[in-house]
Amino acid sequence: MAADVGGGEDSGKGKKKGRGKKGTPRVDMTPMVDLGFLLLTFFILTATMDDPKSMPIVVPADKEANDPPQDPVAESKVMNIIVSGEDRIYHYMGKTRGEGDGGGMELQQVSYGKGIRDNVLKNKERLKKSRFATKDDPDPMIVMIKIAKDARYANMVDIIDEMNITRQTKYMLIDLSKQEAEIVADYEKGEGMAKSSVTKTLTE
Amino acid sequence: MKPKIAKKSTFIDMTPMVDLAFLLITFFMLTVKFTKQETEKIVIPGSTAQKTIPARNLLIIYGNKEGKVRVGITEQAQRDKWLLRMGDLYKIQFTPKELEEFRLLNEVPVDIRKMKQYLGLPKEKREAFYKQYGGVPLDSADNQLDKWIFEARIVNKQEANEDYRIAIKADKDMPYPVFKDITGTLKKQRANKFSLITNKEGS
Repeated sequence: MAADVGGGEDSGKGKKKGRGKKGTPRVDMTPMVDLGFLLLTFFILTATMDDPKSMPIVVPADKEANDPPQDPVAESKVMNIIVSGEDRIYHYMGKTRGEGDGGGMELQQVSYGKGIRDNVLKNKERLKKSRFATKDDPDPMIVMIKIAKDARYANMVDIIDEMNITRQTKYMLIDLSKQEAEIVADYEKGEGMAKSSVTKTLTE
Repeated sequence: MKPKIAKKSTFIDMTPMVDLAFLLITFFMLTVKFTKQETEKIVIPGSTAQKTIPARNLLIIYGNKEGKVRVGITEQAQRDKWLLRMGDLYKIQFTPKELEEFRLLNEVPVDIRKMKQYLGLPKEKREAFYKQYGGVPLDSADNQLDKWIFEARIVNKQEANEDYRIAIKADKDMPYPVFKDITGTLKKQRANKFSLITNKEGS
């Protein structure tokens, strides 16, 4: 009872004092407690709970002259993601139309977040069941992330984050080649735009 | 008898509440981190990364939304030597007073050749100076970022026998080519492992 604030049951009321009983001296702790709560409020309000976090990345060292040439990768297990300007993102498997001997895949525009994530997971599952999946390599998909010059830093962070979320460990960041940039530009100008122009005019 | 007892019990024992309040104060006082004043506001992108950022032995490369780059080290004791070594490379002498000022900077804000001028300015004029001339050059003709990082790593090796962990703290609107220049600079020094500083995000 010694730490009672504002007096407990046997706080010296007139009668007891009168009897001359030696009580423990009491200090009025109200101001201290007031100050205590004031400080508490201050620290709660200034506390920052969401500290920034760090996302580790490892980039491959530059190729050296005496490095052995890399094994060619089967196109069918490569998923390409094109990160373009104005937060646009496309993906296709293997080769795209107009690249190489023609007959490639069509670009598909998707949204950041769920859109691209679902596509990555879908392709990943499909390739896990394909002939590329072996005992040593049960998850054969390789993702090539091609980033355009006009993309933002946040676009790249988003896409790497998607790789971490989908546990896609095999990915590389490369530049968008001139030829690919033209394909993207064509797509945006051409039928791709025509398809999406309906929704675009609606939102604008 | 009964009414008397009822009167006595109107007192509430606040001891536990006050104890708890002080416990909370202690907790918040110990965990509070006052953010250091930054040269400018950088809005970092969000991610689902969970790793906390180490507080020491860290070299941070900052990039703002215009693509201006700065570089800083957490080890304050090594900053003098760092600037002196850079000064030697560019044949610039720094006075003890300038070193003192430099030690207080969390990051290198300007071209080394404008450093003397910057350090001589009073604090309120520095922001405007930074806005006009700011950013460490990292073009291939004079890649000062490369030299700052390299010198910092050498100083850290000599003084503490450690290698800096490298982090990039860039604005979410920073143009991607700037990021490529930064990673290219790091790669040249065989610093292939680094981290990106991001905010926690719900998704």
